[in-house]
Amino acid sequence: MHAHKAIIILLFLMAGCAAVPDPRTIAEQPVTTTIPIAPKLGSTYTMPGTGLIHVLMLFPGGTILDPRGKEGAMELLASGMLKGGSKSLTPEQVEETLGKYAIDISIAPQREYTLVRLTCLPDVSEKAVSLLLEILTAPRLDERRIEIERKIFADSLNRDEEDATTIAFDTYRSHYYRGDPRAYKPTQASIPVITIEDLKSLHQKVFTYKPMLGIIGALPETLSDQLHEAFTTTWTPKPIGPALDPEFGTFTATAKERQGVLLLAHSAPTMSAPDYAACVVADHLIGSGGFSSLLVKEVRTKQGLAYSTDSFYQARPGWGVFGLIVITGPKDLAKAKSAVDTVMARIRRGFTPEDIAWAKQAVMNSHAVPYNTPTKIIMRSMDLAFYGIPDDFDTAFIAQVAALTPEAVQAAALTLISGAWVEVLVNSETKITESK
Amino acid sequence: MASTRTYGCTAILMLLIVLLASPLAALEPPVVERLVLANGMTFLLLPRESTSISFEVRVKTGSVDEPRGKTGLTHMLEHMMFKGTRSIGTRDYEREKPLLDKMDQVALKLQSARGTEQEALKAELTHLSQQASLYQVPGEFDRIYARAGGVGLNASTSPDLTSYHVTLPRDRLEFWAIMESQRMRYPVFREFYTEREVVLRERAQRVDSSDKGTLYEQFILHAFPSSPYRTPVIGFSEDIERLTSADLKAYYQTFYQPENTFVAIVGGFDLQQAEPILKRCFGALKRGPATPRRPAGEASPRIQVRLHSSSQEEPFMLMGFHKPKGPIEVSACFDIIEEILAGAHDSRLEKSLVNSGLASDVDAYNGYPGSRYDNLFLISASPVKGRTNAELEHVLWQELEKLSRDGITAEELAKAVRTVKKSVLLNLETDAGAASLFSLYESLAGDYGYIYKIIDVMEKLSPEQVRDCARAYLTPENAVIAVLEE
Repeated sequence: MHAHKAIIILLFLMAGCAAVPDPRTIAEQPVTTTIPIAPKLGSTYTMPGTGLIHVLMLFPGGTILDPRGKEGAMELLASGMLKGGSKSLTPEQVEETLGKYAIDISIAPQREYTLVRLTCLPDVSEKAVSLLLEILTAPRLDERRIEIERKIFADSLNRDEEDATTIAFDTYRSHYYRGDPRAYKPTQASIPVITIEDLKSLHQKVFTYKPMLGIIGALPETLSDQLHEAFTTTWTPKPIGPALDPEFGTFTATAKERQGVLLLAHSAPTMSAPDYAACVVADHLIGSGGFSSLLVKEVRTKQGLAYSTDSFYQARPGWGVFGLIVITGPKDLAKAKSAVDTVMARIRRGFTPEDIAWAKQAVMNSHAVPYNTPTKIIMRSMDLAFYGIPDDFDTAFIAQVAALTPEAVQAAALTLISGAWVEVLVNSETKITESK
Repeated sequence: MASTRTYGCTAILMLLIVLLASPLAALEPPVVERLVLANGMTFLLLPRESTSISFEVRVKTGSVDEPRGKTGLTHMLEHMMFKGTRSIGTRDYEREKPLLDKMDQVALKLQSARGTEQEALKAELTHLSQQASLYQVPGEFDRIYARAGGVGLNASTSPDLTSYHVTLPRDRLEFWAIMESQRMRYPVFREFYTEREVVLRERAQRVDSSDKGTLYEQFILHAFPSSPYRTPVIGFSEDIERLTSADLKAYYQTFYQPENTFVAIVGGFDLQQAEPILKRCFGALKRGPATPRRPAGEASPRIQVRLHSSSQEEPFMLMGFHKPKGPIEVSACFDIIEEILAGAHDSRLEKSLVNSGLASDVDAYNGYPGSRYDNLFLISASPVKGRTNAELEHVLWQELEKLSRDGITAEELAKAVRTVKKSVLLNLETDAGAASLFSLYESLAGDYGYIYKIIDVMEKLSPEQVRDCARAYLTPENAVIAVLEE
C-alpha cells in the first residue's frame, strides 16, 4: 500500500517537473483586476491606510498661471509657502515643528493644478493638520526667506542647463507651444523680477478654492471637517486645449553635459478621440513597450547606439502629444537619426498580428498594476475628476483595447508618426540632413 | 528540501488586521514568512491585500567581487540576464549555440589581433552575429513579462549586490517563479557584443559626459586605495571593452548560487499555494561551492585626501569620512548623525548652509558606497551662485567640530528616531518598497528585521554615544574631500 502510494507521488512529482507550464501561455491569460475607484464620502476621497496618515489636496491652477515674464512664480510661491513661515509661526518655528514631529508637507505645482500632500504619524495628526492649514491659508512669505529660495531656484536652473535631456524637452516645448504659456519656462531673467505682491496674488488665485480632498488613514473627523471648512470658493475645472500655433522644424541646442539627444515630437489624438486606445497600443509597439518595442530593438539591441531610448504618448481630453527620444554620444546623432528613420519605415510597412495581439494584452494586463496603494488610487481618481473623465473610464478603456482590430492599431501608429515634427538635436557635432 | 517557517498564514493575517486597526503598532516588524530551500535559497513572503505582487531578487554579488582587470563584470552580467534562456529568446537554440560559441572564440582572438587580422576577425564576428540573429527573438524575456502585465521589470548593480525587480498583477506568482527559475538555470548570453557597446554608452551617459560623474569616480578611487570598494560599478572603459562571454559564464557560475540569492515577495498571493510552487521551481537548483569573498584590504590611511577639478558645471563638493561597517551601535549612531546633520527638516546643515543662503542643497549619507566593507559617512553640498566650496567647507568643519565637542540633545535624538520610523512605514506602504527593504537587509545583514533592530538600538543610545562616534570618525585626518570648481 505504502509502495503504491509512493509510486503515485513519484509519478505526480515527475509529471510536475516535466510539465513546467510554458510562461508564454500563462502570460496570455487575461488579468481581470481593474483600477479601484477611490470611495468618495461627500466631496472627499477616503481610504484606509497602513500606519501613516496622508492628506492629498488638489487645488485648481498651476504653473500655467505664471505671469508672462515672471515664469517660475508658482514654483517660488510653493517653496516660499513651505519655507517662509505662517502668520503665527516664523520660518524657523515651522521647520522646527516639521522636524520635531516628523511631519512632511509638499506643495507641487503641476501645469494645470497644484498638489499638496501631508504625511504624518497618527499621534501628531492634529498638530500636522493645524500646521498645514496655517501654511495654506495664512503664509507669511517672509521676505528674507523668499530671497534665499529665489537664489536656490536660480541655481537649480543653472543645473538644468547642464542636463542634455532637460534642454531637449525645454527646446521642444518652446517651439511646439509657441505663443502659449506652456512654451515659457523660468529663466535667470524671470526669477529676479517676481515680487512678493506677485506671490500674494497667485496665492489668492489658487489657495482660496475648495480643493479636491483625499484622506488616507484614520484621520479624526474633526480634523477632516477643519480641512473642509478652511476653503469655501467652489470651482469648475477648465482644462487647457491643444497647442495653438506649433512651430515645426529642426532646432539645435547645447548643454554642458557631453551627451547627445535626439527628440522628435508633435501633436497626437486627444484622450477623447475615438482612436485613443489604439494610440496607446501603437505607442507600446513603437517605443513604450520596452525591449520588445521597435525603437529599443533597433537603436539599442541591434545597433548598440544608446542606453536610453523611448517613445511617449501623453494625452488628456483637450490635447495629445507623441514623441521619440534617443540619448547617445554627440558624434552618433546622425546614426541615431538614421535608426529612427528605419523605425519609421518599419512602422509604415506594418506590424504583425502577433505583435499587435501582444501589445494589446500587455496594455490591458498592466493597466491596473501601478495603482496599488491608496495614495496612487486617490491621485488617479482626482486627476480623472479634474479633467471631467468619468469614474468608469478605465473599464471602458480596457473594453476598447480588447475590441481593437489590427487595422485600427496600424492606423493609429501611422497617425502617431505622420505630419510635421518638432525635431531637437542637443550637442550635435555633425550636420543632420532634413528627415523625409 | 527544508523550509524554515517562523509563523503561519493565520498569524500574518491577524497581524495585518492589527496593523490596520492600530497604526502605532505598525512600528513592530510585520510577520514575514521565511522559506529557506535545501539548496540555501531564501524567500521572504508577505501576502497582503493588493492588486499587485512585487518581487525583489538580491544576488549577493557586486562590483566588490570583481577580479582586477575585469571591472564592470557584475553590471555587464546584470544586463545579459535579460537576454533569455535556452527556450526564451530563441527560435532554435541547438542551431544558435554553435554560432554563439564560435563568436566567443573569434572575440577572444580579436583581443590580441592587430592590423589586417583584426579587420578580418571583426568582419567574421559581424557575420556570425548576423547568422545567430536569424535564430534569435530579441527582447522575448521582456516581452513575456510585459504580456503578463509586468511593470517596472528592471535590475540594478551596486558595489554590494545585484538586484532584479518586477511588479505583476496579483496571483501571478507561479508565472514569475517559472520565468526566474528558468533564467537562473539556463541563462544564455546572446547579443553579448552589441550589449557591451550599450554598456559603454551607459558609462558615457552616467560618468564620462559629466564632470560630476567623473568626480564621484575619482573620489572613490582616492578614498579606497586598496578596499574592494575601489572598483567602479559600471567598470572602466578599457576593462568593459575586453570582457568576454566566457568571463561572464565563469562569474555567473561562481556567484549566482542559490545560497547567495535572497528573494522577497510582497502583495496579492496565497501563502499556502506559494510554498510548493517555489520549492518545485527553485528547489532543483543545485547548491554550488562556497562563494569566494575578497579580503577587506588594508585599512585606509588616516590622511586627508583632496581632489580639485575645474569644470564648466556648477560647483559641488564631496566630503567623506572613513568609518567601520559595524557594529550595529556605530551604524545606529551614524544613522542618527545623518538625520541630525541633513534630515529633511530643521537639520543642522540645512540651517547653517541652506537657510543662511550659502548652499543650494546639502545631503548626508551613512554607508557610502556600500555596507559589506568599511565605508564612508558622506556629505555633499553645492554652493549657491556667488558662494564658494571653500566657504561651505569652512562652515561644515565648524558644524562637525560643534557636534564632536558639544554632542547632540536628547530632543534631537528623539526627533531623528521618529523620522527613521516614519520612513520605514513609508517604505512598507508599497509592495515594491516592502520587498526591496526586506530583501536588502536579509541579504546584507542576514535578517530582514535588521531595520527594526537598529531602531531599537537607536532608542537606547545616549546623546553621549552619538557624540563619541562623531569625535572618533568625523575628523580632518580621516577625511576625503573632492571639489568641483567653476
